[in-house]
Amino acid sequence: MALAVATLSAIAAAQQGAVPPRIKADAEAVYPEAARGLEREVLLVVTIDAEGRVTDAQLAEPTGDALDDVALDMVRRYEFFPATRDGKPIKSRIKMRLSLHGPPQESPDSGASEADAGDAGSVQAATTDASADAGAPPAPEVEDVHVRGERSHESPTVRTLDRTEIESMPGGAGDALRPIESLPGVSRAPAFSGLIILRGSAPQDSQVFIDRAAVPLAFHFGGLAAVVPTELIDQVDVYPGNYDVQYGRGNGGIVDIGLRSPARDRIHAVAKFDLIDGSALVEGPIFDDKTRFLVAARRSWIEAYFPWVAQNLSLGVTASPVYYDYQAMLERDLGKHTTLRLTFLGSNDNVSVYLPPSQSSDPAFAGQLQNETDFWRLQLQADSKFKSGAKLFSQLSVGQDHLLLDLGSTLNADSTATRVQGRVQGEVPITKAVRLLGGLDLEGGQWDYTLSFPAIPSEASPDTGPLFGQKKLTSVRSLGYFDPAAFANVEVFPVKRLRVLLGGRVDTFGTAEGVYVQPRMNVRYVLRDGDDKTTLKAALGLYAQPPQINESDPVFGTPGLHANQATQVSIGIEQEALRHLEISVEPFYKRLFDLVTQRPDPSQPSGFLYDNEGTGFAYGAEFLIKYKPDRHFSGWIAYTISRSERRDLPELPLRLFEYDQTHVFSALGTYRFGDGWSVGARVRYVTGNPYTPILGGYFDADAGDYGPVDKLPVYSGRLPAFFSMDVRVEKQWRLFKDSTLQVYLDVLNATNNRNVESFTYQYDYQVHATAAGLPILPALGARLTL
Amino acid sequence: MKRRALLALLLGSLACEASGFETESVVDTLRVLAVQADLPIAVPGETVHLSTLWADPLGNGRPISWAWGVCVNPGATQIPACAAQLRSLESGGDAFDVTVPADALDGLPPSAPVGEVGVVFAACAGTLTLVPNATGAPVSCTDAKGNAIGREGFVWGGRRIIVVQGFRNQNPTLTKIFFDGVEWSPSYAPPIAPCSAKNVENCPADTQHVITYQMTSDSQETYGPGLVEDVVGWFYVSQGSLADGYVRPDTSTSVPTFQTEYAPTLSDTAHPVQMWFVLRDDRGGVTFAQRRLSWR
Repeated sequence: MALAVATLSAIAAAQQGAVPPRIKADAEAVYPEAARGLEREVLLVVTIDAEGRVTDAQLAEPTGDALDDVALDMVRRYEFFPATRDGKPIKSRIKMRLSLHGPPQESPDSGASEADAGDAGSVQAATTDASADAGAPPAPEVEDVHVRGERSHESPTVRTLDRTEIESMPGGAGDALRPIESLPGVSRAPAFSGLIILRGSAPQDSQVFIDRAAVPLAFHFGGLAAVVPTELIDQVDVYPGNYDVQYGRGNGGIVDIGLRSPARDRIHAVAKFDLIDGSALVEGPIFDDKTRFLVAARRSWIEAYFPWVAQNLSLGVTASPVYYDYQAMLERDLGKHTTLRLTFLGSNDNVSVYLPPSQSSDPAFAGQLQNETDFWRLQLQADSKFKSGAKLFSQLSVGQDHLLLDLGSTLNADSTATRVQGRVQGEVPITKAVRLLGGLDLEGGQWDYTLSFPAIPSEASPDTGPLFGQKKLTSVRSLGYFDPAAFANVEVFPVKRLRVLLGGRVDTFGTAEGVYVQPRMNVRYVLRDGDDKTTLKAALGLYAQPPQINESDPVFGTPGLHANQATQVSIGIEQEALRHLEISVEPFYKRLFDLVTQRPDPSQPSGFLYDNEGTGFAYGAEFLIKYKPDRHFSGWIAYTISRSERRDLPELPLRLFEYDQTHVFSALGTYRFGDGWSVGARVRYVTGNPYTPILGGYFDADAGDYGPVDKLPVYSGRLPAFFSMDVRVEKQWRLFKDSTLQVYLDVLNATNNRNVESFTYQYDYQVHATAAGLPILPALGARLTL
Repeated sequence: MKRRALLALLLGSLACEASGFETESVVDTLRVLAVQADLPIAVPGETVHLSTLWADPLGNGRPISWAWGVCVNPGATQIPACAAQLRSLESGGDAFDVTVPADALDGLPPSAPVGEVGVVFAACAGTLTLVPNATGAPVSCTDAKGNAIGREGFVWGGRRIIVVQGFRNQNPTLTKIFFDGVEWSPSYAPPIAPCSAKNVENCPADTQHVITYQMTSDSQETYGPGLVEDVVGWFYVSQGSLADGYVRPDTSTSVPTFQTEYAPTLSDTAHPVQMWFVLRDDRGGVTFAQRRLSWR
């Protein structure tokens, strides 16, 4: 019974400016009877305090067999030299992989086995003998090790989901991004929208990054799946607001998808298949573990059966979107301190469908619809972390975003944006109590578009009626833009356990006038340390966001606009309790000003004059009670209460923001029974979205169709509340060595609750009916990992 | 229609098919089906004559009151905004003359000197007053007792007259109408038999009929930098079912043709069947016609 231990890597010391912990004293494995004949590697997440003691150990990939307990028991008896930063011992969290080999199965011909004594002493002795027979343990192997000290994010609030949480979350169907809706501060997006709504902000106010480079889309068409498969993800960080100076160009929040490194040990492969798409991934080292590659691709196949489903459900359209995405990565360690990563990724969504006249009484919406959205990125980044604690991160990303939307003679939009993003940022410790961060965040490129469409009213404007017969505008434009930004932070520890971050960011925008100086600060104070740690925090900052491209277009909008701005404030308390609980409460307030809004003006080509006249606010509180994952259970309860309103013009009253959701409640949990079985459930309750009631209809004689008369102010009504329960059952088999087969059934809206998403109206708007969202929807999938 | 309606259409609203809404192509209340301007595009100072195609098939010849209002360059919200600006109405019949003001193009951007004269109309099987009603109409329609008349006897709406120099638009020309391949003149009322099914496709073959009408090939005009008008042909009927309420022209033959199928489903043989046809282009051009059917 050889025992090999894969331990920590000194390379990990390069990460985050800390020196990782080292084993001071290991421990022997104690194998129970149930461990006979079992052997595999067990991956653990281990928390080590500043004294080098193991305070927590969790299974990263529990299977429920006896080796889970063996590993947990064993690692809890380890002693470490603690991780350090700037020479100071710190708490850290690492991943460890243990290779365990249980005692052999009893031979039917043998007499009492060595384990027949039935006590641990015999087993331990056997273990020791086996170890002696096997010789000295092998040298430590490089492994995926992340040293996480105290929250090293500069942003005061960041909520992170790692891949194991994402893959097994009920209601997520294994998707990389859908689970974020269960986090506090994240509103429920309307069905089929694929929108991300953070802390009462408009979807266009928040940004999506992949490895810190902005991408135009988070989801494939209609929110079916994230543009990156879950297998590629290391973690997803959600910043609901008050994010740090490194990020800008948005008044909302940020979703940053962090891609993981390719495997170092050997070639691995993953194949996944469910009712919507199929994907494959291959990764591993090239020549040695210092150079690694990863190649992945995914394609939808829902179009193979959607027409049959649509026909049987008498849906109005029978065509389904087709999507695919692809990723390739090459990573190389340069010396001890630097990792170089070259990534190429892209996404494509395509739908072509004939909209029959029976589907719409407005002829503008009948005919052949073609919609294609695609983007690609080529990113080169270098990440260096030095023993002194200094860090340097640099990244160059080039790519293209393309949108085609064509509907007969009504709507033609063809846009190609070539984007270049560059980032260089460094961190330098000045003294033990002072640290500097600064850098440049550059974005520029060329935007070529043709847009032919009737004038675009804002969401705050009353409905303009049928589009057929309305005056159409055409704008053909080639626009070069350059949005440079510089930022800096000073991190100060004036007294023990108090961290103050003072900084600022300066932006200019190619599509907006002005220079925007945005001071930001945040404070963290550890009121009480130890197991029941209490942390107080506060943040305050100014944010700027350029106008949307159509708002500053000379035909559809008004050139010469200024940026939208916001002041964001948040305070909070984080409390750890009872070893397994993390509790946080965070009130927030956001004041929006200089918002770009429109007012009717016949002197403008579009009939609208845009100006920075809008204001608004969002305020509320986020609550989270999280159970830190253990061998059997993981889950949390999240609740957000908030209010978001806008004033579109100074003379108008405040109105509800179109995505205002007073209450957003999610409770979810997953229980692992062992033997590879797990069951999870998620319950959600969300206040209904605002909508604009319709008083009646008028006949538009140019279109031959009716238009609605909105009840003003807009969004004065509210849809019924949303409720759903999602259930997930999963079974994992260990096939051989590290290979696993995982089969899951994720039943969305398991109670088949009829949630109203909108209203539909008779042609003259005199009668209406409710339109429901997704009914009960089983999502069956399988993942094979080699 | 809001922008997001495009996405909702694309993915199909489950409620639409099962909602039991009335069909726009079936006219069983007081309806205005079209308003034709003899000059869909006019210049300042010109007088435009408007005539309406309206129907009240179950009204038994009751008198209809009409009112008209005019606004100039009302802004992008157009018809409702125009209606909100009305301070007076002109009583009249189902036709109306509008003179485009001489300053209709003043104050418009030089890059896009295109104005609009908005015309609001209301038809009521009772008395019209300039008092907004609860359904958002700028006028109220009441009966002799002062009670509000609903959609069965009241309709309001509007159309635009484009004002611009250097452009004209001809109304499309509807040439011939055919019933089951036979030319259908105003004096001819083809005999039909009722069908008890709900939809055209479920009716026996001898109760299904092909309705076709044609327009001249130059009705779909080109204008500006290579732009072509979008022309749509509408079908309306007083009872029965039409396979399509509107279609775009079939240009595969030498004469552009609009075609649909009709069946007298769930019909009331006590009332005659009338059919109306409206041709529209997307620059305000309109032409219409009507025909009758008789019960076998």
